[in-house]
Amino acid sequence: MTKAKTLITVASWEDRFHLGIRKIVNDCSLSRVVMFYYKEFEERTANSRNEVETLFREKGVGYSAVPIAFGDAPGTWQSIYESIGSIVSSNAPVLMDLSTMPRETLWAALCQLERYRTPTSYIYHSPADYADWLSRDPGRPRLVYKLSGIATIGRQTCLVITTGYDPERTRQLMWYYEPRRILLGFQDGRQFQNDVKNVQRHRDSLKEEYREFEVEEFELDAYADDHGESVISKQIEKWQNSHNIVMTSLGPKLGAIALFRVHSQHPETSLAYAPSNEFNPDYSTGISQSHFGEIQW
Amino acid sequence: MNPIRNPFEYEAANNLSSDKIATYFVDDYNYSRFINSTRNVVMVGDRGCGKTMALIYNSLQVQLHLLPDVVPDRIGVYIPCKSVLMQKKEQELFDDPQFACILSEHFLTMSVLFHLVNDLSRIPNILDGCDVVALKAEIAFSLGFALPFGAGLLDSLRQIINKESREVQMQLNEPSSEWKFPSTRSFGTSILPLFDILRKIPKLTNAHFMLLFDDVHDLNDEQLRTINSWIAYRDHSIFSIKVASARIGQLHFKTTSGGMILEGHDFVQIDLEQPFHNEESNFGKLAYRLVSRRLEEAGIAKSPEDFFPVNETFEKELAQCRITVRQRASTLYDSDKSIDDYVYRFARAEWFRQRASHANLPAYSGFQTLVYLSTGVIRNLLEPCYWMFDDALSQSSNSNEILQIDSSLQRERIIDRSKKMWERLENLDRIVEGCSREDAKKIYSLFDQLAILFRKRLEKHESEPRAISFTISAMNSADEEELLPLLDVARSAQLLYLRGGPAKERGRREKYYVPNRMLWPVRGLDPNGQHARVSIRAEYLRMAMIGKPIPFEVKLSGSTSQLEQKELFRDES
Repeated sequence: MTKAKTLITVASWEDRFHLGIRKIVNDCSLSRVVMFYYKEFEERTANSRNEVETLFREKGVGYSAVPIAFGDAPGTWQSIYESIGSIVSSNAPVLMDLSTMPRETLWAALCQLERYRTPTSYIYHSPADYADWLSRDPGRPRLVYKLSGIATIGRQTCLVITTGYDPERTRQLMWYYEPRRILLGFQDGRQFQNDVKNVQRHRDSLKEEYREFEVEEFELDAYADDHGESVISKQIEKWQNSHNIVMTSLGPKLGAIALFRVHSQHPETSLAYAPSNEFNPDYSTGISQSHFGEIQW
Repeated sequence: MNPIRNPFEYEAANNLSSDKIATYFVDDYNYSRFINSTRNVVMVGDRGCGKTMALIYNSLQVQLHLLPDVVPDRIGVYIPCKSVLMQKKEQELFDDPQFACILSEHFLTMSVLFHLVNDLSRIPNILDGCDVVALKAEIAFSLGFALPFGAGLLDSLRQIINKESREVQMQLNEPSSEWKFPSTRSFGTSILPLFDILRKIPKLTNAHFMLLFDDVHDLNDEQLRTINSWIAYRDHSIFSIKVASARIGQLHFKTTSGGMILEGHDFVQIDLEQPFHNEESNFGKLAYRLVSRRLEEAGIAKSPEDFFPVNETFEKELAQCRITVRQRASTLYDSDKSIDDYVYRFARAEWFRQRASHANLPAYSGFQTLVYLSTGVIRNLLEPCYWMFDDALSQSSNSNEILQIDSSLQRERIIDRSKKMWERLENLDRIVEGCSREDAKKIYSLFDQLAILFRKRLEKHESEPRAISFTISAMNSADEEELLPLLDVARSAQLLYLRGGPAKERGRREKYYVPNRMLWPVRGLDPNGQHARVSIRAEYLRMAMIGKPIPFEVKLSGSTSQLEQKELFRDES
């Protein structure tokens, strides 16, 4: 069981958000919660926010609800920066609930926690099931503030994508960055019919892109202890002296932790975020396995 | 055995070798020679119309490949804007927008400096006859570069440029928000002085530096303003700026000081997307030259028409239709010109009209059909050719002897690509930035209704049966607000192209829309459109977006005679 005292989370309408928070509140001794919520989904998350806020009050846990916005990246960064600044001043260890946390928020928070070397652990609740489609209306991909790497002029780009279920999002990233080389990381194993939904669907759908770019595939296990970090490191080490490396995660959320760690070890690499403007109101149902981990700075 | 090389490779130009670019590039019929001049040039055109190829062809790298012993007077320096450095956004975190401007210009400047020095180092023995020590001292003094010892002049410049660039990036990546603003460089403090110094090298005494910026649509607003400000410099004896951008709508011409640069005065604009694409049009000629050159390079001694033959049965039937239609025309008109015009408009339509309603999709084939299907975009031409050649390779027992692409194989591939395009159209919300599911449904419905309208016209229209372009009429501000953003989404996905041409009122020009012609084969339409545009009221297009049919009038509205019609569009043939 984790000993974290300050919980950082992002509000969602998914079951696993409020069910997960309930689990955390029951299992951990929390002194404080920082709950970010996206203004774009303020209405959709209102009920679940009310539910967890009631729970926090019942349990005597102090909380703050901090609005952020996909449409205001600088403002969001500033809010995260200030919130984390106030957390670390208390010297309390931090628990991050990654379940419903967008990767950009996750990386921005980790960037600040790393700066202060705050003892940080994380928890991720898998849902019982996912909907047929998860997100639509892609926004413009962007490099994450402060994690955008150190580019060498004159080098071509190598794009590393840990893939998800939707090849269209992979395609969008490929054409946005138009890199010389692409490393596609596929989740190992058959959870959520991964082998059919992800690997084969990508190969069938992206024939054109496989021809256009130098595409290499590799397998990783985001549910392994290191969430695939060593595999990704090995992959990028082949190209880091000749390419500017941009990494992004569309696959299992825990893979985003691996990418952050890889970036920490190789600060010249860039982390990129591919936003979506529309999420399925039935994105996922229920809650199943919980994954814990700790970050060593 | 060596794998057979596909002559229709269409890899991104910046991934092609100088050798291939020098071989494949065709500089006729597309105004790209304007680039090799001392003028400022803005080139626009969607993905795949050859912008990058035109820039790189004029770069020093390729010019030295073509004439290895000659240092050109006009030195093209290719600067890709789709790079990680240009994508950095930390400057957005500064409260003062002026800082964002300064940093944006800094990254651009460092990029120009690096590519300039890097490209010059391709010139053999560039420093022959010059006092390198004095040159180094001047660069160190004027530009404030602490050049490393030991390395040659250009090597040491490259090293110091990247070192400085890295240092600024590291400072900006500091996780704190209380930064010390880094020291930066600009065009005035670094690029101009370096041009002056470089011209002291004997081989560069008369050099004019052409800065070739590719994909400027990927730059942020401040960077675009910065480049515009560079374009606004009055003296272009030493340098000029050429920029390539995906679409004119994504550009603006404002400068950092709030002024504007003007077409004609500050720059020349070249539109690389061309309106018509039959064998007589510039694009038709360019396509012919391009495919001929690629076939020749692959050792295939065939003309494009022979390599991509038309289905024989179709050709015979079409010839018969021409005879039938000519006979009909001769009963209606006296002059040969009117008869020819009638045959031009109705012969192909006749073939489509004679087909049984349940007949299979037509035998789409032939080089000219491929040119039409490209909708005036080179990449759209090469893509199907590539896959057809690939199919032929898979089927061939002797892959060295692919001397033509069978018409049935062409048809199969065309229909397959047409189906894929409709699939793409159905899923725009998963592909295009800023397109919601609702938007995607509306756009799909609009194209569906356009296909139905064009089909009806092909079957029944008495004047312009093969018109597959449209203009929008009677558009009020509410229509604009609803229609234009959705048409823009379709344009982003390259399902729709916007072209300019003469309007019916003499002397005026108008914008018109051309749906990607690859959409039409699977709907049984004729991609070989005619020189005509269907005028559709904005309200009908809005209704089409919710599945209502676009009203169809059998006769050409208005009083414009057939002869006048032909003349109106003469500049596009």
